Amino acid sequence: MPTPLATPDANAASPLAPAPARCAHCSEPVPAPEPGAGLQFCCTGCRTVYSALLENNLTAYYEQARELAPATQQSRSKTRGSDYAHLDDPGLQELHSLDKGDHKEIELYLEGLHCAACVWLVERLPQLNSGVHSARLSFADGRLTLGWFPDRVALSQLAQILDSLGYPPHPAGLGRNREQQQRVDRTLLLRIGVAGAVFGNVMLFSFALYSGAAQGMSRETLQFFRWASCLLAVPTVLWTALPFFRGAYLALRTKTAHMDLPISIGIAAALVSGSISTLRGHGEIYFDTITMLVFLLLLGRWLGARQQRIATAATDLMLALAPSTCRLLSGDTSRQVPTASVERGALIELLAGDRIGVDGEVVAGQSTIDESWLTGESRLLHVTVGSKVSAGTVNLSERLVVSATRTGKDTRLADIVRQVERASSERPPIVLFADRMSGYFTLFVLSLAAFTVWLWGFETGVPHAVALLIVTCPCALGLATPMAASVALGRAARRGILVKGMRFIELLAKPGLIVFDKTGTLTLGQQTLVDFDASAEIAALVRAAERGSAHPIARVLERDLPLSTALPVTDFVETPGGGVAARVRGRTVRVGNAAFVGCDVGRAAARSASLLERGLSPIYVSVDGELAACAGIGDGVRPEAQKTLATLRGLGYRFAILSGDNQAIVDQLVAHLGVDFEVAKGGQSPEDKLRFVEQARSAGVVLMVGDGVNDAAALAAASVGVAVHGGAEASMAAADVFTTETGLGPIVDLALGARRTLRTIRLNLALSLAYNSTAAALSVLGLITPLLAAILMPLSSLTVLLNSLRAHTFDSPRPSTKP
Amino acid sequence: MSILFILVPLAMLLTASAVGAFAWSVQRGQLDDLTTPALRILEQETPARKTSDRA
Repeated sequence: MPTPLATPDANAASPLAPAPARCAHCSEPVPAPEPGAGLQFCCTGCRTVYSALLENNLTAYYEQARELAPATQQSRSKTRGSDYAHLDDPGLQELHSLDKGDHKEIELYLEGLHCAACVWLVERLPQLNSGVHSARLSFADGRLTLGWFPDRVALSQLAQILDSLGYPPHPAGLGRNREQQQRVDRTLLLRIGVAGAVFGNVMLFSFALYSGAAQGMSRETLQFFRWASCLLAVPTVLWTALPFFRGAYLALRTKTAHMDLPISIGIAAALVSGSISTLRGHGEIYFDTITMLVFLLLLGRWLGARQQRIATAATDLMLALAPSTCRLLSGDTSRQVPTASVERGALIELLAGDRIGVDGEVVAGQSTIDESWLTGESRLLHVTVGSKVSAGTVNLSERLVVSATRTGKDTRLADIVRQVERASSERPPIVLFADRMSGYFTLFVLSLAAFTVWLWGFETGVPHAVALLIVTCPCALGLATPMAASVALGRAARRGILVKGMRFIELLAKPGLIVFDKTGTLTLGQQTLVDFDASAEIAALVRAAERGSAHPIARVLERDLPLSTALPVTDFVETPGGGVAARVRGRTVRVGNAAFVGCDVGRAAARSASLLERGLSPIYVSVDGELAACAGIGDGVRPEAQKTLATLRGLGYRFAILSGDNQAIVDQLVAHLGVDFEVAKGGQSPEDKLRFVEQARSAGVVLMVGDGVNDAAALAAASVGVAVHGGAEASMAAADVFTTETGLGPIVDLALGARRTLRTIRLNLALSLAYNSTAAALSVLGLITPLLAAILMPLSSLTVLLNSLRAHTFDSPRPSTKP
Repeated sequence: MSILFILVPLAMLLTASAVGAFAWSVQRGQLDDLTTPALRILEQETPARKTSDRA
């Protein structure tokens, strides 16, 4: 039986540790406080940021941060330490920057923005460097518009300043796409403005007409107001309602149901009959109702588009972080070049922590490679001269020199990206519930109109039928979905769940099959100390011995073993591919593989076999030549996984697991989680995953949850693809939903929130249908008056609006997923 | 009631100028970002500048 897995944050929970010193920049506990120093820093990155701010008299940032965002912690400095030389490349500047006469302008995505104080700090950039013309930050999408004088300062220098402040910059495409998007946005906004102004004024004229009708008004005055309304409303409605007419035309041409169709019929009926009434000098004009309708519908559409844009911008930011550059080695020096320009046979230098941009072969150095994003294999890979490495994997420990064998479009990574494109283009389109309904609705209203004409005869029947078409124009119906969905998605975004479109809400609300990737989804996706079988005293010795090493295993041990007082270490020796040896408090401590620790490990054979079976790497510890411990290091199960799955099961979901890891590890995980999985397969290639999802989709809704490049194609093919925090860029681009919060909690939020949102949408639809049927019944009976229509219409829209705002969609407290 | 024949066109003129101003601000991109200006107004004039004046 597997032993209970230790939680990875063992050090945070240690009650015996003294209150740790806090970092002066990010307020995180300082792991090794310097005795006697006034200000403590958790890392050199934070120290650099602090001194940069101090030098430029900008320490007021900390006051701003405390005042503006007392609850949010400064994120630990993300400084990348790159020289950003690639930004000075004339080709790149040609592509990404605008020439503004004396200065140039570029848009940069910034990482690490977290509160209003960041806006303050970044916009003080002209104060930090006289070569900066202007700095304007758009906080919502993390975009900085930076104007600079190329003759006074190089862009790379400014990038280095931003980086040293903890906001690594990345050039954002200033391409045609964005300009076009901007033009569309602005036109929509302008339509709303015009529609609003016209609606307000026409409403005033209508008040005059209604009260005139009640109190007696001269024919000329009445006719004057009719003409004023007509002249104001007809041209503006024709322009502002253009998107609906266009949608209706498309729906007719493709013979699909769409909400724009009944809306357009209503608008057109009102415009024609209103104009005829104006010309004839009597009859109803309906211009007040129709202008309001257009205004509200446009507003709903804009709100929906805005939510979608925020999610897309967040994805763009993630994509800008892709490893677009790498270090090209020529002779003894290396310089950063765009990855796209690397040719076959070029030598690439990789430092610890670098993402690899090309497929290649190691020609110098040995190191550990993390391939989990590309293959889903959680075990670390040791590479040495002659080993092959793939684009998209991460070099963890030592410097490597790699000779590029395949670059750009030929890499395995590019292959997968092509599969993503194919999978997403073959996905069946989603038809919304409201659109399906609008088809029946249109048919029903048109036959009712015909019935009215038949009932009353042509003379009186036609005005009644026109009134029917107008009052049943589904204003509230058209608002029902976008309103409820955009309010819900806005709230979800504030909770770190970004949904790239309201149409996914409906699919998310249906219980279906959830397909999990294993690594990084059900598990933490990074190496942690999962199992340690010795006393706190041994742990303290191991921790002390490992402090001097940069090897990933050593970093894991130091991070995950309980905090203890610093012990003096002497005679520290590190053997690559072996382990570390040191004298701690007079005792000889050796930590490493079986051959290295220098004692009989036979005693631990059963234990190491069980560790290996669980997919963990055994690490041996000997103290004074005696075997003292055997630690298991590997990819730990997320602490909340079990609870989350139980909650989802309660909601009616079924589960499947597809992993790139081997079958034994998958079986162990399933046994540990204790939940039924319909399918639990190991050794799955990206192609296998894609095939499985495409097949499962024919049987119902398939939710794919993953994080790696190897999941990307499956994410794109699934009904809804959910990428979890910290995943690979390709998977985020392919997914329909992604979370900025770690862990599985957001999945439960998503399922519950989508259900509540769908309930709100259904209630909205029911409410607006109730209004519409009342109005329809009244107009068939010839009882509807323009005044009644003018009251009923806004009332129904207002009900829908209030209902959408009232609904607790993503705000209610999450059921605890902590064990 | 004949005053209406002056007042209504006048009101229309005012509306048109308001719509014109709105169109101008939209075209200039003033309404592209609706989040950051709300944060910017919270900033105080920097106390740091005062210290540098004294120095």
